[in-house]
Amino acid sequence: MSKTGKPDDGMKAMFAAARTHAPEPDADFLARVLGDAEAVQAGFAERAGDMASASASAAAARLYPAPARGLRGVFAALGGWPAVAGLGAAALTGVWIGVAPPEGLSTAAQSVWDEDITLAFEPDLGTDLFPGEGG
Amino acid sequence: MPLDAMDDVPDEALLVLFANGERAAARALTLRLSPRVLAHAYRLLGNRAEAEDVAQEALLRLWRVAPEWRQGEAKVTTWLYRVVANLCTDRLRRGWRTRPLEAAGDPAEDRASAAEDMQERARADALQAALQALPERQRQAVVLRHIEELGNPEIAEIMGISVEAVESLTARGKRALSEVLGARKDELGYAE
Repeated sequence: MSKTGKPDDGMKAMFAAARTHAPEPDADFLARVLGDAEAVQAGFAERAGDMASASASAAAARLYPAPARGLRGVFAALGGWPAVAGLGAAALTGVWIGVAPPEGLSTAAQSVWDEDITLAFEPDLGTDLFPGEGG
Repeated sequence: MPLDAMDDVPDEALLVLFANGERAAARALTLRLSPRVLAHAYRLLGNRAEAEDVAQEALLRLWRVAPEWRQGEAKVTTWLYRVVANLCTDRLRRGWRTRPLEAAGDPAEDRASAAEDMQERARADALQAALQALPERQRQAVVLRHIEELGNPEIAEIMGISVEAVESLTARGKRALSEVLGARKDELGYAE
């Protein structure tokens, strides 16, 4: 070895020989490596495709929601829970007024027609509702 | 992109093309990096079949890491040298031992007929045998410095040690090689 610490000529020749006679990859080895590379690369493409597909499906679902069918469709068409709750409350109120009319209802009716009117739930309602006619 | 058009493209840029699905980049990187990775693995292990396994595994790791590769942080070859060294160390620690003087590959018969080339081959084999006798870290440092011809800072990065430690390892390793090979200098046809 030289005093400079650099490889002497003999060692340089040895290292150069090692570089010259490095093992070279044969066709089989290169095919294996390239096969790995292409398989991994195909995985990238599949992953990218899956992500793009999922993204497109989500966007389409946002833009064009699928129509609901059956009772769910009717429910949705009415406007969902808020609208159905309002309809239900109105229907119950109507039934309640019909079955048990409030006390002030007769007075209110009298003020409208300016006559003494009696409201009663009876099969023969006609004479009581129009007392001035005939009778 | 045609394969020959990639000759001037840096490894790191090719890796980005590879991650983007460019098939020509896969071929270009395979042809460019395989010889270097295989040779390095062989010099650390001294066994062709083992070296092929290590080289294939190291390159497979490179393919997988390609989408996350961060430009400017490390050279592809620096990363590969480190992975190869780690894989070789794992094999050696699992009990596999290097075997000296195994043939370095298929010799080119036309060149082997020349006496000069035969001597070159003998030198390469003798050096490989001497390398196998070195401690693992010395062998790695000497190979990177004197055969791969890398600079000490890059070797330090690959080995995860200081530049001073690299200098120490290469000096001791080279001295040990000189002693072993000096005994065969007449046979190998070189002067100390």
